[in-house]
Amino acid sequence: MLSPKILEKLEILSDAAKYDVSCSSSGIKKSNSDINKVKGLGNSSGVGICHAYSEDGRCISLLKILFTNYCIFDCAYCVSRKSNDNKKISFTVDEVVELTLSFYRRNYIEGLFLSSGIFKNPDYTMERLMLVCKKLREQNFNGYIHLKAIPGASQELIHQAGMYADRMSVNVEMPTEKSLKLLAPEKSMSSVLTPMKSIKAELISNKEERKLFKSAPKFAPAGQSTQMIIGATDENDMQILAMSNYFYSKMNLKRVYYSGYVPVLEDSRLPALTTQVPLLREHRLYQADWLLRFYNFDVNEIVNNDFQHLDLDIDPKLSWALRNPQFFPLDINTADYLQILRIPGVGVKSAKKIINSRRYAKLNWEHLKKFGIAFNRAKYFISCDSRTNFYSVLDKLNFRDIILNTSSSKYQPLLSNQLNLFG
Amino acid sequence: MKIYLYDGSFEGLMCVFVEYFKHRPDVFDVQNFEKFGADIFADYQDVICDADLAERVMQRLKIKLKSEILKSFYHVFLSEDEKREYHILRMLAKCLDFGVKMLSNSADEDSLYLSKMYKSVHREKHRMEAFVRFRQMKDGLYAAVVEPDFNVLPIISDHFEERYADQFWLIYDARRKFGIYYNQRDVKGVEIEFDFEAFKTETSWDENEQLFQTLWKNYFRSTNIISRKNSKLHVQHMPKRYWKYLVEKERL
Repeated sequence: MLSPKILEKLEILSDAAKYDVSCSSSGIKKSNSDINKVKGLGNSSGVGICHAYSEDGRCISLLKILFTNYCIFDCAYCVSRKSNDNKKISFTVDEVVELTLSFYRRNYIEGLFLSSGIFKNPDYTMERLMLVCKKLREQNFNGYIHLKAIPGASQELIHQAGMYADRMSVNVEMPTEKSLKLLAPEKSMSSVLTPMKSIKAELISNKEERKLFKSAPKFAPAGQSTQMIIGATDENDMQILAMSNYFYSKMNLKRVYYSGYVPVLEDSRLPALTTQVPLLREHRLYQADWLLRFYNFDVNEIVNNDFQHLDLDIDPKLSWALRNPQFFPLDINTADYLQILRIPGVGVKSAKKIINSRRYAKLNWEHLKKFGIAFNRAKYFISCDSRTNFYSVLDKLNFRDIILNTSSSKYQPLLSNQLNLFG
Repeated sequence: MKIYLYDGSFEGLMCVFVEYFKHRPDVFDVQNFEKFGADIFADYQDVICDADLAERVMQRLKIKLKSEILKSFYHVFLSEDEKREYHILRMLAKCLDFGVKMLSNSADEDSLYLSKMYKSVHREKHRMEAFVRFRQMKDGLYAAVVEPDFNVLPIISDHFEERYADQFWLIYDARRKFGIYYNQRDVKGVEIEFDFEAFKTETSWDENEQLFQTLWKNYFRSTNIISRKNSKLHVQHMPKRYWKYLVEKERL
């Protein structure tokens, strides 16, 4: 039975957890009965379900809470930092278990996202988190569990926790060592990268083990992810994306999340409390991230020494296309898949439709419009089976203006707002 | 114009397919005989639903087209769109003639219709898997009410059966007046008079139900970041027509 204090605890500890943007519950297929071989509660279908959306438009998939907001660290950007004199409170292991199960049974959530401030020491904290997962699994709970690895916790505890959790993550928070030193003096890049590396090592050795013994239990089968705060410090997009690229290629991370800095605390090292959340920049970073993961772009094509900041006016693919007009126009009826993916306004699904349908008929504008491509953007970069063409504009010097004037961005209000602030 | 009349069931439509496939009229339509509007120039044909015949047709189609693909036709059928029977029949015939690769030709009218409709139904299925909100009743039953745009209860039942295998649950479609009920062994379709008043009244709930609803509403509010407010996106993902049955959208 839950104590009456549970209302207050949930309010404080969910409020403190909400700046972690990861909500994904996808990437893992698990049937009910996988764990203790009896039909219990829950499964993961592989696609992930967003059960609700909060009024900021973000998906609510997991019960996202801190175990406690006590913390021995004093990171400037964090609401739970030691020197913040807000109310400090803590769940018990049983409370988190009961909340998770009861929410899950009512179809409110896909599972649990459990993070924590560090109380007493990293191992003590990590052990509490591990116990929550263990108890949930012992009660035949097969839903999704995303667990934060506490920097400084022992390898043994991280290993144990990973045997119960679906995803483990360590937040790097700051894109560079310099910023980390400035805002989180007790942390260093290596203190963040060490647990990340040990999770990576566990994932690899678990994979090897499962090749030999199919029945060996899985370690964090949905992989690991991390998060960077954007706009709290002065890094440019090149530095941020270089870091992401490192995580994807060297650390085998499944996802890097970007969290536009929400000013919550007064601190001379941080942007003023009145600063707007850099939503548009965050959005452009996600678009660039998608180009890295699904569109076969190299990070240097998106940002480089001559082009260190993503264009806020236009999406990064269009921006790349404008810098590389020699690549276009592409003949939609002959270009290969990877080339088609590079056309602004054509996504993965439309590209596949194009490849599949052109075997039956030469494609023209009518076809392309029906496929759901962003016609107004894409038309300048394409030639197809039609007499009408738009690509002659490509060589014009004011091409960028033409594109900007003929397509309206849904981010227009946001854009003018942010430009006014800085310009 | 040839107009086939049938009983509105998927089995019925399979029987219509047999008739259509024999004669292949260029111009035709399929209508539910309860709803058709009499047209004196039309050539009507009543097709009686024969369950055995329908079963044989479906077995045959499963072999020819693979059951996954037959399932996607069924999903389109559940859209209740008035053009669905027409496109389903035409596409089934094309698949039998030329193979299932016909489905991937997005330049084809029927294929495009089917893929768009499939997407819509699938979106609604996914939404229902997300937006069902169970309330625990005094007798332990977890009950939920929904009003989906399409008739998706038949295709969400597997998901809920797998996920909530160890509880009793009922999901009721208030628009179509039927529900699916699970008794820890299997799922049954039930046609019942649903008592909305009891469903909404605290006195018929389990003693902890009120607390968990309050906790969930609180959580929904406190997980929101006010300085990132984006009502447009919020409503886009959670359209207002679904709010009626969402606990978190009720007043505290």
